Amino acid sequence: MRIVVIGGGPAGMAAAVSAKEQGIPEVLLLERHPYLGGVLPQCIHNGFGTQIYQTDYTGGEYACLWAEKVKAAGIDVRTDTTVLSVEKGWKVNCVSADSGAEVLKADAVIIATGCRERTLPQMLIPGSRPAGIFTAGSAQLMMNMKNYLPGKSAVILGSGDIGLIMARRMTLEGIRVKMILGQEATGLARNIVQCVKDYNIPMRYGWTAVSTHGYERLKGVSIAPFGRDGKPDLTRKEYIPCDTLLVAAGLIPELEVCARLEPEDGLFICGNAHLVHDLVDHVTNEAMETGKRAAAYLGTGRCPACFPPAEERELTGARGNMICTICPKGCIMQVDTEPFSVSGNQCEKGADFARKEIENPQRIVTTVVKLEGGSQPVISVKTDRPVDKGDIFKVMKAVKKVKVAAPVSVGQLVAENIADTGANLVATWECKGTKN
Amino acid sequence: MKYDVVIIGAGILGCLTARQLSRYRLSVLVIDKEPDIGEGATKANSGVLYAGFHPRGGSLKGISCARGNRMHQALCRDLDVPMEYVGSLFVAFHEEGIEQIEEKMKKGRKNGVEGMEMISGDEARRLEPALSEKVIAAMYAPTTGIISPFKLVLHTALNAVENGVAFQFDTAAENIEDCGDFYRIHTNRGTITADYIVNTSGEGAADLERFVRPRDLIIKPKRGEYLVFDTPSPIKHVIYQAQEHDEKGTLLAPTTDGNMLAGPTSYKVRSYQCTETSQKGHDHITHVAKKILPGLDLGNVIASFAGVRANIENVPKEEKDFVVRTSGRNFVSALGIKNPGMTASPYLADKITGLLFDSGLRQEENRDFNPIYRAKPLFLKADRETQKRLLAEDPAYGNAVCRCEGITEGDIRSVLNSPLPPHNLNGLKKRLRTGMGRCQGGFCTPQIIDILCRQWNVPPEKVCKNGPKSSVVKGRLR
Repeated sequence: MRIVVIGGGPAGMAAAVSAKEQGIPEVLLLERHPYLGGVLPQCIHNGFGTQIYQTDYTGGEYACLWAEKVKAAGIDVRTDTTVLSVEKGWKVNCVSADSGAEVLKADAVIIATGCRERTLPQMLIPGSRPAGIFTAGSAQLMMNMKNYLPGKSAVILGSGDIGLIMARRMTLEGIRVKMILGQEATGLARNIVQCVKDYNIPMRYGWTAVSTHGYERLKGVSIAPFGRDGKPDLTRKEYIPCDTLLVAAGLIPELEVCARLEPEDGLFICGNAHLVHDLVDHVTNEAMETGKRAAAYLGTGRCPACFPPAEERELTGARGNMICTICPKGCIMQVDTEPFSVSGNQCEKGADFARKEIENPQRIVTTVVKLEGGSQPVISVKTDRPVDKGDIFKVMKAVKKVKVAAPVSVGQLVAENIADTGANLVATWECKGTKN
Repeated sequence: MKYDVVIIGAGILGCLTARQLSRYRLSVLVIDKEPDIGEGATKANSGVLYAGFHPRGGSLKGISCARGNRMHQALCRDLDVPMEYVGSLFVAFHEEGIEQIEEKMKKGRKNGVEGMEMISGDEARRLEPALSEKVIAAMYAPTTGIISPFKLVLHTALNAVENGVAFQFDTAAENIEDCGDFYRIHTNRGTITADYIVNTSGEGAADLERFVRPRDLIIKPKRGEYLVFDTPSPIKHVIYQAQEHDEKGTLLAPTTDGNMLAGPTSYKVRSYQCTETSQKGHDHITHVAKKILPGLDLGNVIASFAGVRANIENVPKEEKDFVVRTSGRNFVSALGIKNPGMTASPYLADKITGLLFDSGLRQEENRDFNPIYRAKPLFLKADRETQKRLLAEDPAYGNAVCRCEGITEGDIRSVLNSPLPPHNLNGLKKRLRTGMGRCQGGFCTPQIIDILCRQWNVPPEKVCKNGPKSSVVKGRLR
């Protein structure tokens, strides 16, 4: 009896582990990257796992945690393997450098292929198509895994979490983020505070890009507010010179591999391929449930192709301006300074947190350092304790000089007392050395 | 060295002319100011093989369109170019529309178009179920086709290379000097000498012709914008509509890759560089597309693009035509070749070579000429045996890069090591469709930059999208 899980991100890993725990003898996990984790390793920021583990992991750390569980559960993993399509009777067509194109048989298939990003042309935004227009996730991969500097000055279209996180990431690397444009406050409160307000990045709600300019590299973006009719009001058009436009305008479940199939017994979909989630914790929970259902299907022989109920959305920034990170409840609070007042906190600790946040705010810094002799040019790191907000750029400057040699394991000390802050840099991802 | 013929302009017409000339024992060089073949109107059009009922009856445009349409059948078979006569529907929403269509049929008959017939709205909807209920009648034309413009120009050029034609890119003709019995072409990359010159430079054709004759035609850029819809295409036929007011010649067409195109518009622009799309254009295209297919989901748009055509301005519309002429001694030009230029191109290439021979170009048959070109199969589309062979050649064939279009690293490396290799991301896209699918390069671009850096041994900022200033990334972080 065999379940094939397609996609080794958080959903695929959790579904595989859960199916295996339910007694499925053979669980095969297929992943196109050379590593497990899906999009997590490029998410070098923290904020993962606060709900399930009451711990503030980075994306890479969360991925490593689950990769260990996959290993411990005895799941067959094949990385560097791209699935092309799934056929009825459950045949999985895939390709890899080791085996070429091949067909794998399965009794049930779990699709955990994540999502793809909405692009500028999909939003029907006209203009030229020069270099310098990226989807936010693509730019994130370039910066955090490939060591590429996407540009020097940027406008970000989209005020969801990915847009906000990339605004901070680019600012830390010296890219001037000129503006974030968004329809409404859709990002988590935590991200609005720690990514935008911390760095005074201009943000305009109710504005959008209406045209792109430049024929070779992007030269600028025209922006306009939405009018009453829901269309951009071009009479209020403004021009922002920039060489980069990040499009963070939403995610679309990626169901390419089973596009031609109707929902049917034995085919399960979980994670962002099923529904785009705000938090990885929700993905993990949903995928664990899917793994169980897939196992039940093979055990009892009858269970409808399952689409678990949608998760409630996390509270977004529209509801407050600060998130308390003392406990995993993560109360969204409205905090005002003059006079000092806090609302939305469910206990007294929230008010203390808010006071400290105002008097001496501290942040975990997450970034990358040069990696030598590894299969990737950089590796993600974080400060092992929060540093004073005023020291963040000092840390960033020091980080540029840090080098580490492969192999590197997650949690490994990379630099002590970085920039005299008292905090150490530790790796948040792992990388084996290359053979040569 | 002195070439027998230098062709200026590596669009589809220049490339087909070069291939025609390679049937003879001649030294032929094709130059282009761009870094690649087909960078002008060739790469940005509807991909439609027009039947020939649009142009004025009996004009060069009309005859070359109808005849070229038929010539593509054998040409595409020889050159391994995807092409299909899918047929077209010219639909009418009102009584005057039926009159317009009847005019088109008259033009078509004069141009030699066969098989056109009027059908009812219901018959049209039987052929295209998504068609608007408001369509009252349509003309069906079986010879309208679709073709891959990229593969047509690429395979034509590669076949020409196999038969001895040379290509030189990034080379702009700045001055042409008639030296009595030969020409000197002064370019940004030195001087080239030639006995004969073919001027198929599209946007620059009228300016080049000035070196051998006084200017009589004023040719200005006119832009056509398009929207690309995701696969699968909701229609099987090319659909035109009889205009109720000025709705331009906007059409809907399935593509040989399974997408649907909607466009073009027609706007005057200040330069041939102006390939941006506009809000006005988007609004116009979506209006016409929704009028023809009311159920069309605009959420399926995955890309937009624009092509700029060389439009003759100083000739009245009813007299306007393609101009293919001997401009001066041993100098043949093609001017004002806009749509249906790609359809007409095989006929026009024959006309150009005919004029060269009339001027005395020698016709000594090249016995080694091989008209057949076969593209190397893509790994994921190849049969098992070929896959095994390719994988043994290069294990990178197993490394999928562009998921939307099914392209592997091996396919990319193979193209980089072929004749007429791409020099930037757009060139790669033209050859392999990398980044043309629904993710529009979001997933594959970072990986492709890696591959190109390795293959070309360059830093990442040297990988460009199109021109030399179009670095995809600005350097390294660390």
